[in-house]
Amino acid sequence: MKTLFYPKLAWDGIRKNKRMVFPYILTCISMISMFYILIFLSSPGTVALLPRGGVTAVLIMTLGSYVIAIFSVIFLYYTNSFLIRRRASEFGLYNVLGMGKGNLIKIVTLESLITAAISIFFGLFVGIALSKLAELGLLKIIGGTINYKVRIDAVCVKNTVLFYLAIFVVIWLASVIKVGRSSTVSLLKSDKAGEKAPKANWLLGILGLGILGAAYYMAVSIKNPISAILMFFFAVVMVIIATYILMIAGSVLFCRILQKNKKYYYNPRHFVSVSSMVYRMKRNGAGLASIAIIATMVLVMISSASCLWFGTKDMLNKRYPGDINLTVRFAKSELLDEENLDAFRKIVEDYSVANNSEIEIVMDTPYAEITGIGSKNSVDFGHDFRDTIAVNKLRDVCFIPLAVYNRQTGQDITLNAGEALAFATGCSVDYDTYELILGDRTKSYRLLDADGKKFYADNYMKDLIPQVTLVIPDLNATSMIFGEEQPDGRRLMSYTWRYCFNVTETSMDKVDYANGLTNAITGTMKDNPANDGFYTVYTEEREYEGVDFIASNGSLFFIGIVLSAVFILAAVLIIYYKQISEGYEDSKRFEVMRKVGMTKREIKKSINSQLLVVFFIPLIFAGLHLAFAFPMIGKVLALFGLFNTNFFMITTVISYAVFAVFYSFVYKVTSNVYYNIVSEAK
Amino acid sequence: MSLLEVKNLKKIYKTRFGGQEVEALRDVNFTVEEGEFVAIMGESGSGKTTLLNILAALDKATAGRVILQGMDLSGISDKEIATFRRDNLGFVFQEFNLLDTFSLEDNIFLPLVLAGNNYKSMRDRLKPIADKLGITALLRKYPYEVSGGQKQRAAVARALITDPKIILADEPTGALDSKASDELLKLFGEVNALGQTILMVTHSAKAASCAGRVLFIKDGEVFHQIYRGESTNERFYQKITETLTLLSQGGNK
Repeated sequence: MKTLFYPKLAWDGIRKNKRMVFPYILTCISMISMFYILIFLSSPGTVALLPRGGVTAVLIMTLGSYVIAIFSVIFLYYTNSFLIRRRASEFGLYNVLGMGKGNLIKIVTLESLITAAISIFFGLFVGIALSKLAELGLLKIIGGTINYKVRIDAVCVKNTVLFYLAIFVVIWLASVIKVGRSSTVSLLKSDKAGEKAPKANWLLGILGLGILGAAYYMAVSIKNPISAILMFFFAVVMVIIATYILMIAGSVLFCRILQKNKKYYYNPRHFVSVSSMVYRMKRNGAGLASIAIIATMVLVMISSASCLWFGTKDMLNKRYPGDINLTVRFAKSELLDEENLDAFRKIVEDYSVANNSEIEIVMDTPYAEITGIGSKNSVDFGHDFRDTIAVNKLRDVCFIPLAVYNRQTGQDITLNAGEALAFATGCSVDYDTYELILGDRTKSYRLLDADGKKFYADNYMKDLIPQVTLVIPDLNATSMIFGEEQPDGRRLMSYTWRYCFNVTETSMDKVDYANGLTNAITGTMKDNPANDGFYTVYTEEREYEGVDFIASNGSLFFIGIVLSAVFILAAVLIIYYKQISEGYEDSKRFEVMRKVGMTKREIKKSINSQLLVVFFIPLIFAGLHLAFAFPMIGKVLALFGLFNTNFFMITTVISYAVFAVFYSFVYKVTSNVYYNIVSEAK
Repeated sequence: MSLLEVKNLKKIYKTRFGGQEVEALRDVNFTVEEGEFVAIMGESGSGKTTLLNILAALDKATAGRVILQGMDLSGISDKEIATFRRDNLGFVFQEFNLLDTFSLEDNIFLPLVLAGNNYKSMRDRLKPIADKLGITALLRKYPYEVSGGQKQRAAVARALITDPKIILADEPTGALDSKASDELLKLFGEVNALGQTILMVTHSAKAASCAGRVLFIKDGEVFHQIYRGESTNERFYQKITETLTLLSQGGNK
C-alpha cells in the first residue's frame, strides 16, 4: 500500500487540477496526433498513392511537420511552466507537511510520467484514427488513387513517440529544477507575490508605435516581392516586436494617460476597469501579443492558401486555354504572317484528321514581344536591362494585330494608322500617346480608350514585369523598326504564336496526342526551308502540366488548414489559461468591491468591459497587421501565378470573418469559466 | 429613537445538502444610540462575524429585524442594498481589504466614485479626513508600499469619506502590531468624539476597552453588557477581562 502512495498522490494532483491539466493534455494529444498525421502523409506508404506531383506534396508535409515540431517544443514548455507556477503553493503545502524536496520531485516525476503516457497513447490513437481521413482529404484535394484500407506506419509511430518523449523529458527536467530550487516559503507564496504598480513607459510606448509604423510603411511600400523578400521578413520581425512592446508597455501607458484625465477616470464606468486594466495588461500583454501574432499568422496562412487553392483551376484555365496548347516561337518577324501560320495550322488539321480526332480552336494569337525600361508614357528598348534590379521599371510590351484582337474578343473595332488600343498590368497607360524608343528610332501611338478592360496577349499575365499590351492595326510596320538584329547580334523582339485547342474526340491519350503533334510539326517543317532552323515549338497538355500546380497548391492548402488548426488550438489554450489565472486573482478583488458597496451588476459590467477589451485587442491587431500585409502577400501570390487581387481580398475577408466568429465563441466559453471561478470563490 | 435596533435576530445555517442545521445566532437583541462606540466581544464561533455580516447587509437573517434609523434592512431589495451599504455604512476590515490595483487615494475614493461624485468634491472631502488620519503624504502610494497600520488608516478614511451613519469594524486591530493597534484605537476614540457612531467586533480586550460599551456574545445570544461609565481605559479593561473570565467559566448572568 505504501508503494502506491506516491502514484496516488500524483494522480490526485492531476485530478484536482483538472481545470488546468486537462486542456494541457488535450493540447499534447492534438499536437502529437497532428505530428503523426503529417509525417504519415510524407511517408513512403502514402507517397505511393500520390499522383505525379506527389514529391512537392511530400516536401510541403515534411516542412509542415517541422513547423509543428518546433511549435510543440516552445508551446508545451511554456504551458507546463505556467502549470508548475500555479501549483507551487500546493507543493509548498506538501513541503510544510513534511515532504522533502526528493519526495516532491518524485511526485512531479510521476505526474509527468502519467501526463506523458496519456498524451502519447491518446495522441497516437487519435493520430492513427485520423490519418486515414487526412490521407483521403489530401488525395481528394490533389488527386490520386483512393483506397479505404487503414494503415499504421511503424516508422512514423516510432518517430512520433521518440520525438515527444524527448520533449516530455525536457519539460520534466524544467519542472524538477523549478521545484528543486525553490524554498518552502517561496513555494507557498509564489502566486501571491506582491506586485508593483506598472509604470508608464513613454519611451517604450513611442518606440513601439514607431516600429509598428515603420514596419507597416515597409510592408506597404514594397513594390517587388522578389527583391524585397528580405525587407518583408524584416517588416514581419518588426511587427512582432512592436506588437509585444505595444501590448506590454503601450497598453500600460495608454491606461496611465486615461488615469490622468480625472473626469474620465473618476467615473463609475471607467474607474475600476481602467485601474485593473493596467495590471491585467502588464501581466497578460505578452499572452495577448502572442495571440495577436498567432491570429495574424493563421489568417495570412489560411487566406492565402485557400486563395491559392481555389484560384488554381482558374489559373490553369487561363494559362492553358485548351486541352492542347501549342506555342511556336519564330526568330524572324516575317514568319509571323498569316500565310506562314496557315502552314502550321494545316499540320495541326492534318494531324487531327490522321488520328481520327475532332478539335475545337479556342485561341489563335500571334504576337510580338519586347522588353525595355519604362518612364511615364514611353519605353526605351535601347538599354541593356539584363542587369536591372528595379523590376518595376521594366516594361514588357506586347504587340497584337487588331484582327486577332477582334477575333478573340468578338468585337469589331477599327484603328487608323498610328493608333493603338492599350492594356496594362502593373503600370498605367492612362496617356494620350505612347512612345517607343530604340536609339534614334522612335514610334509613337495615339492611344484609344480601352474602357478599363483587361486583355493579355497570352490570356494571362506571365510574370511580375509590368506589362503593356498594344493592339495595333498591323504587326509588321512596327516590327520593322525594333525587330532587326542589333549590332551586338541580339534580337530584342520575340515572335510568338499561341495556338490552343480542345480535343473533343479522340481515342488517344492527350499527352501522347500532344507529343505526337510536336513530332508532326518538326517532321513536316524539316522540308520547309523558310521555317527550318528559325522556330521552336512545344506543346503543353493542360492536365499534365496542371498536376504540379494542383499538387503543390493543394498540399499548401491542406497544410494551411492543419497548421491553422494547431495554431488556433494554441491560441485558445493561451486564452483559456489567461482567463483562469485572472479569475483566481480577480475573485479576491471583486469580493472586496462587493464589500465596499459595488452591486453584483456593477461588478459584472466591469468584468465584462475588461474582458471584452482584453479579448478583442488581439483581434483588432490581427486585422490591422493583415490589412498592411495584404499588398505584399498579394504580390507573393502573384509569384505563384495568382494575379486576382479581388479574389484574394474576398478570401481574406471571409477568413477574417470566420476567425472572428470562432474567436467570439471561444471568448464566450472561456469567460463563462472565468465567471464561475469569480463567483464560486466567495 | 435609537440609531440601530436589533430585535430577536436569528440566523440558522444549513449545510449544503440540507442535513444539519447550525444555529449561529439564537436571539440577539440590542440597540446602539447615535454617537456611541460599541464593542462586541465573544470567542471564536460565538456568532460575532455572522452578526456583523447581517448588520452590513452582506447576509440575511433567518428571523428578527435590524432597523437602522427607522429603516428595516430586511425590507431593502437586493438591487438597492449595495447603494444602501454605500450611503449608510462604513467598513473597516481585519484584512484592510484595500484593492492592490488602486493607489491609497483611489481606494478611499472608490465608494464615492461608485456613487457618481466628481473628482473635485471628492478631493475636498478627502483633505480634512486625510489630515486627521495622517495619511496625506501617502495618498499617491500603493497598498503594497505602506505598512499595515497605514493601510488600516487608509481603510478608515475610506469608511469615513462617505459620512456614514455607522462604522462597522471587524477585528480592525487583528492584523496590526501593538503600536499600530494603539494608534488605530486612539483614532477610533477621536473619530467617535467627533460624533461618529462605531460598532466594532473584536476579541481583543484591549481594543474593547476603548469603547464606551461592550456587549458579550455567547452561543448566539447577547450574554452580558458593561458600560465604561466614568472609568479609565485601564479600569474598564480590567472589568472586561473579569467578565471574559466569567464567561469562559460558563457562569450565569
